[in-house]
Amino acid sequence: MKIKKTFGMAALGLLAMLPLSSIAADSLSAKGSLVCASIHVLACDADNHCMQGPPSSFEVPYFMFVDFDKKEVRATSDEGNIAISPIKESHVTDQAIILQGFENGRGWTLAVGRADGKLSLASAGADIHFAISGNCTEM
Amino acid sequence: MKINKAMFTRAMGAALVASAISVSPAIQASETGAFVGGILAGKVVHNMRQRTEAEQQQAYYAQQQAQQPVQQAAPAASGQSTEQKLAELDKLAAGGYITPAEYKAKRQAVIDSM
Repeated sequence: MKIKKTFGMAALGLLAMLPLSSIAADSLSAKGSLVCASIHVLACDADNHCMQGPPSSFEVPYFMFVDFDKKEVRATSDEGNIAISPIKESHVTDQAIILQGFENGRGWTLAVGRADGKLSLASAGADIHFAISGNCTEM
Repeated sequence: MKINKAMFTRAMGAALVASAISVSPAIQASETGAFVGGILAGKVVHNMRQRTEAEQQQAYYAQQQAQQPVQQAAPAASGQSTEQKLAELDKLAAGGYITPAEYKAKRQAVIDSM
């Protein structure tokens, strides 16, 4: 388990260091699948009390997968279970792929820069809203 | 240079796929529900609440500590038993509000006053 985590962390580090130019060789399209690595999490409550840190400090998954064919975003929890969010809306512009969803009283928007693969995921609920930044690349 | 970059990107892709498979046993795993509005939001909310509670607890202990000199000014009036004093010292040491040396000295003083 420790080896798996170490390997995952190493891959995450490599993805974070990946020169943007190498991703940018071809701009990302909304076809097939993307693998995205979370790098930073910022969460705030309704009283503007905010906390931020790496995904590990919130125990959120480091990797998430965007499947354009199945129209879903998924990740695997620490316990090894797959969690899926259906994509309700998707918009592709020259600059970004924008996906939106809604579940359990919470809305979310995931945007990926087509040129650089930069990820922004924001989710808002009545209690807490949070944003995750990271990088994506085609699988 | 261009070939090296392409090779690097391919190697990265392979590493990521391998890590994704090793970190996420996707095939064997069972589906548990929502991701963003489910486990993701759940973990963020849970960890934020936990950290907020810890901060509030820390602030409470700091406030208690700030009020302590007033309470210590009248030790006879407080009527604390030796057991209570020792328990309070244990609490302060566990919370990191006094150093091990201070704890030891105070503990000895309480025992000596018996």
